[in-house]
Amino acid sequence: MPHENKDTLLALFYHEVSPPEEQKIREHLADCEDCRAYMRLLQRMDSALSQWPEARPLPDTFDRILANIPSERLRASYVRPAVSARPIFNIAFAMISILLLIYFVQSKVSMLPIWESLSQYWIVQTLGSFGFVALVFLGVGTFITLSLAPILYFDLNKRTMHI
Amino acid sequence: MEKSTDAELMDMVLRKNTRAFKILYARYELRIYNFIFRYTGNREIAQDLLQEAFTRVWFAAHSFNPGSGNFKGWLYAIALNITRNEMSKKRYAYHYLEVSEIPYQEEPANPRVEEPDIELERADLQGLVAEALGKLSPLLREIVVLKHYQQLKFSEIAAMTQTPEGTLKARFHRALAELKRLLDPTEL
Repeated sequence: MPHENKDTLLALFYHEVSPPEEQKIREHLADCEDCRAYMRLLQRMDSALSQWPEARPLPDTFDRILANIPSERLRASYVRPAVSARPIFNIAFAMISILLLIYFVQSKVSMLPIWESLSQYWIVQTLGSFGFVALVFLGVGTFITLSLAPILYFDLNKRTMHI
Repeated sequence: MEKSTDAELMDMVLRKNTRAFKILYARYELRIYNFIFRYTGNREIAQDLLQEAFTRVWFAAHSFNPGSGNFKGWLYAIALNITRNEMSKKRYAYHYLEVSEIPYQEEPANPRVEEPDIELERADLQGLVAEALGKLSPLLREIVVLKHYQQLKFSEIAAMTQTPEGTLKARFHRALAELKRLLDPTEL
């Protein structure tokens, strides 16, 4: 019977062979002194190497590791909630501010002499002073947003490319 | 949290959870420290590199992909790279421990009082083993440390070092022959 490959004996020694394969190798070992000698060598070297016991790191090693990490990166207990109330509050605050601003502006506009002639138009009559000022705000807001959108878009792209 | 898997803990580490990080550290501290210690043969370097390895785990947590391998392999790969880099710097000469520096095996609960001769013999043997390992080339030492001391499978080491299993086994046989020559196991 041919000698087993040393790699096979190594795999057997470290229990990295399947049970049928192990049985086959052990049958061979029973008849082969050379392979048994190699297994004995593996055993002896294993015992010799095991004489070097494990060592332990310093007890405060973990604290030292944490000390290497900037404190702003440590948020042990902070977990980002699935739904945040903050954007809702922000939107509500912005809407209330705009409505107050519209109310304030319409109260001033209605006192202007030009209001007399404006109020002849059907749109002003339909919407009322508050609705008319709100419509003007909407138009101006849309104009400003559309004017700035390309600038903001290209600027954002430029920033992303530099990250 | 203590019962969480490594991958689950890494997911928490990614969200900067230090408690999960500490559990992972406690799981692998000894293995990684002893891997580096036996590779370099130097306690202080092992201490520094252990810290560096886990600091990298924290900062590179986003690059851990549970789908492409387990945490253990990923961590060993980090430790191995750091240790290899450090060994290649040659800023200082590496020397393996003197016999007197080798720590004795810690006794369990009830320490037995041993004969001084036996203790001395054991220290001698520990020193011989450490010295013999130190005389191996880095690649041979690496495979002995990973295989014998860390009890990793050849397939795991192959994945970690990007080296074919056959090459690793050949290195291991060569390392054994070298160690046999250095230690003369018939005397052990």
